[in-house]
Amino acid sequence: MAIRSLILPRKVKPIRNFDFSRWVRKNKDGWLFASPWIIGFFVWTLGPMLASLGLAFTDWDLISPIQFVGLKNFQMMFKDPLVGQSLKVTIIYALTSVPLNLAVGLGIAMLLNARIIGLRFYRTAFYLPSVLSGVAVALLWRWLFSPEFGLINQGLSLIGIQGPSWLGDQNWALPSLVVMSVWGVGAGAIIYLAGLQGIPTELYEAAEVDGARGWQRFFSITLPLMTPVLFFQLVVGVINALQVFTQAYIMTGGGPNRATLFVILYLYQNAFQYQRMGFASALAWVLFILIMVLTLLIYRSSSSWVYYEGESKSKR
Amino acid sequence: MTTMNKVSSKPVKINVPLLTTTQRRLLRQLIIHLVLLSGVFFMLIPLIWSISSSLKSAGDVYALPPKWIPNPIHWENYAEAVTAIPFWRYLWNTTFITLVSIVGKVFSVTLVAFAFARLEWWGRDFFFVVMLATMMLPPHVTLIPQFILFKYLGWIDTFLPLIVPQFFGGPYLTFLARQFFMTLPRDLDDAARIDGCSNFGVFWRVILPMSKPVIAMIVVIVFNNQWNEFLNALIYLQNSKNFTLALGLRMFQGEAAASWHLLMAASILTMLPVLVLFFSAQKYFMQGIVFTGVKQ
Amino acid sequence: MKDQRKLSRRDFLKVGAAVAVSISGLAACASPTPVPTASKPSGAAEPTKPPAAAEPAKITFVCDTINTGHVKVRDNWAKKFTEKFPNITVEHQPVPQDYNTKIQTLFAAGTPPDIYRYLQEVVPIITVVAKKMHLQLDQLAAADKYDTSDFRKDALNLYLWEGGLYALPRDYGNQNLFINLDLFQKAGIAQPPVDWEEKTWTFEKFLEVAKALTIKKDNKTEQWGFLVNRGWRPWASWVYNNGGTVVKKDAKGVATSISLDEPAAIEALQFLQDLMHKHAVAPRPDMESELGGFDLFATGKVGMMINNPSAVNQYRTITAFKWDVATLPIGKATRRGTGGGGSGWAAGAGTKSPKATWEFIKYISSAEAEIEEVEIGATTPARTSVATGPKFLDPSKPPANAKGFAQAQEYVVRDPVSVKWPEISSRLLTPNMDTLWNGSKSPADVVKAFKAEADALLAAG
Repeated sequence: MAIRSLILPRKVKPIRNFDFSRWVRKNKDGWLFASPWIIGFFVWTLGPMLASLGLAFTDWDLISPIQFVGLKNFQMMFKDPLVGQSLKVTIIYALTSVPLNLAVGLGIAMLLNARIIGLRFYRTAFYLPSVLSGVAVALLWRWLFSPEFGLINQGLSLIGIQGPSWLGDQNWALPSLVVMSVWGVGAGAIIYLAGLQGIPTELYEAAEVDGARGWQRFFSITLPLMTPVLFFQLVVGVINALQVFTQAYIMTGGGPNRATLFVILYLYQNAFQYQRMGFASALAWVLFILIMVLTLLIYRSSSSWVYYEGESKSKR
Repeated sequence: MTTMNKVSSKPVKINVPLLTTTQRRLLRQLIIHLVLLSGVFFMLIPLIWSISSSLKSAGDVYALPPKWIPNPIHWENYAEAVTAIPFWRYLWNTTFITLVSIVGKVFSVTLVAFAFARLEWWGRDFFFVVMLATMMLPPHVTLIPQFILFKYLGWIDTFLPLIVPQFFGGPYLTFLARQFFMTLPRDLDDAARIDGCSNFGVFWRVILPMSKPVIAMIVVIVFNNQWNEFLNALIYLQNSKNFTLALGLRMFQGEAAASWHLLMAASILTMLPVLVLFFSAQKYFMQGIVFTGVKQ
Repeated sequence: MKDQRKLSRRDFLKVGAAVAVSISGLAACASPTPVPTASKPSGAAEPTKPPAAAEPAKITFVCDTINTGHVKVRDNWAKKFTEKFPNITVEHQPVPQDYNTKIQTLFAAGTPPDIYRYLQEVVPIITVVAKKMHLQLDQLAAADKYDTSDFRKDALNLYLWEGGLYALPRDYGNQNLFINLDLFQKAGIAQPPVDWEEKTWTFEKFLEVAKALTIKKDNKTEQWGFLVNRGWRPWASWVYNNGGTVVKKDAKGVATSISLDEPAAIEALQFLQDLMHKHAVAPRPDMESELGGFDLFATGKVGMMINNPSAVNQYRTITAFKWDVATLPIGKATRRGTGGGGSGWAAGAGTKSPKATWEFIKYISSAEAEIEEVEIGATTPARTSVATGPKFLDPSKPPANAKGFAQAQEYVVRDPVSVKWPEISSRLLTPNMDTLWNGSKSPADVVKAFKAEADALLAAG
């Protein structure tokens, strides 16, 4: 019910003289259109999700029969300092990489939206990182970050800066992964770009006539019309950042000294290395709730800052 | 990271009164080119490194300082890479999985997104949040239950676990499509309804024709995801005859000894189709949404 | 609103039922099929059945791949085996990556492979026996009068527990010192010995050599004497060579507590820390480039490093200089020791065709099969005849002293035997040792930081 009241704050009409067939007729099309996903959810997704929820209350080493243990896994979580450490690492990563990627992505998209020659080349180049396969990328970055021979430090030494040892340094390992996340910004920029392309040029022309320039135009036209895309990027960005895994799994293994021990990495280690699937599932659900609360907060706030042009007439 | 600052410095320059409009435009373009080129440099280095490594001998991959131009050039690495694994067979498997997935995904995602963006129905907002929620549970804890599910269906070692779920929408792309549908003017729906269109008519005749950009984007994203899909392919495909390119690539790379030169050659061959698709699909998703007759 | 609430309650019931169903479903398929041969340590299990060759069967063979050559060799095994036993089909299923995840998923789903490469450092033998994961092989071997004498005894011991045999050895690795001969020559130093019984190649001598190989220029080190391999088996080798141990064991050989806090071990760890921080003859981890430091060696930036023989493939790509292998330096120990282990061929307990499975295990554990794997590299054979044979010691390929690999097999110190060892090494050892490598803690403090927790895990295991 708590979730309901959060997401359904709007019009809840009191139901009088409930007419079932009319109700069905009214909703039928919505259900029909949404049915591929709704059916898929019940067939493919719900079962495994509930199974993992159930497992959170059990001990299971993947081989022996499952044992119900009540809340033991959740109690263990409070006693396990690595849970706190991994949450800390993950949240710091999300807090830095998400805003950085949102801003940089939008910035690049705006540049790619300018009328200049070579756009197709530029766009393809920026999209390139998302095409390279994940493992090759991770290994490549280990080389780029290599303290002595890596291109990053070689570049820095050209301007007289002695670069840190990046992944090898407890204090720099996490920032390194944040830097790396910016490299993949092109995929997000493309989505912004499609949004930017949808902004009618007439609006800019009208604004120009009104004397609006640069920043004014950005704040009065671009930004408001981009809010649906920003909202999407923010929600997806938060969900993905809190579940970051591959980079740490391949590049740092959670080190040095647990500086990049992300929640999902710790969860994976528990599930498949220490054979504690029950504990891993409990951890997954705690993370799930954390992400859910954040998403609902964003979702809830969206009505005050996301502007849907499509709704401008009928709703506002 | 500095691009934002550069963007902001652009209008300041424009305010300099000494320049003519043409000069201002040229200066602006120059700055944009400079910023983009530095970004491109950052983005292209890994590609150049990959291409260069793919043409080196096994030992030269490690040379320091790195040799950017391989000498001699080992073109035969490409021939070796495609014969060391059943490359063409994996290419066919991957293509099949990807193409069927695209059909399923585009079809289901647009329908569902239309329901979430344009129709009023009981449970809509609730299910929307549920849909987002399915993205929030780490795949590692649902991996085994899902495997058991597909085992009961007898689908292990077939393409079905990779393909069939694609026909049932998917949170990420549905959300994306919903956001774009939301920005389309509602007046169009209303007009179509007055003309006697059903909801499906609105979807088919009004929304879809205006959604080429977002559909093109979905195609590119699904293509890229399925082309590189690893974890599910690893778990569900068993006989190496059924492998995809993503699995084949991993064969070049063992715990102790990676054949970097071959891995890179195979990687480049693998990513080419995605790049080509992106390059050519651009014109569709970059064309924007044409607002005709709705200007106020 | 009322209507919604009613529905949600119904939903809730459905949800509850679904949870129950899916959990019981999981439980049902997760419990392993009891196999008589696996549960009974002795007694004739099914001796009356006809021999395997007569019995038509289809068996799965799941294995990780080290390179593309492995896939081909194993495809070939499957093919040739079927030629020999026409009614047994072997389906080879290579796993190119994340082998552990895949194997555990297969076991968890109740569909373990008929034959797979078993890594005892991932799932300890005690766990295998306690959870009845594998088909027990000793009766099958006895019935066949199967000769195991060619296997290294210690390698076979890895899969023997409480009288049962749970796998046949595939490989048996160890740690060796890889040296850049060109750098030794340039510095005018004699090549270190290869004989593991040699006594003058001591820690002190090693330090001298490392210092001589280190070249500094303008406050920057251009060449390092040694590269500390921070994997636990490599650093534990130094502890063994100083007469220390990693764990204390009970009479059965099960680890009971961490013994790294004893003087011999502390001294060895101090020696390693000093190589980086006091003598500066080895790069600190933060100065090391990635890829296991191999690229530092391959580019002639370090003179010596520790690695295992299965990495030889990679070293053979080096064309810029000559290299060889040597024995590890010895400290206060009376006999050398090296961290090591190996993998074996095992059968999942649920296999429907134990006889066919056993035939295939025999086939892929044969000397001929081992040699085929040796030819594509990346293995340290478990059979003495192969490890000392011409293919493995191939004089036409470096290292010239490959015989050291074979000799080192006699000095392998077994990994601590405990259900909890994989967890202790990844969850406690690796992160805490990071504080030794970065110089922030003394060895005694490093060990103190995890000993209590590790001991508790060992006691619980």
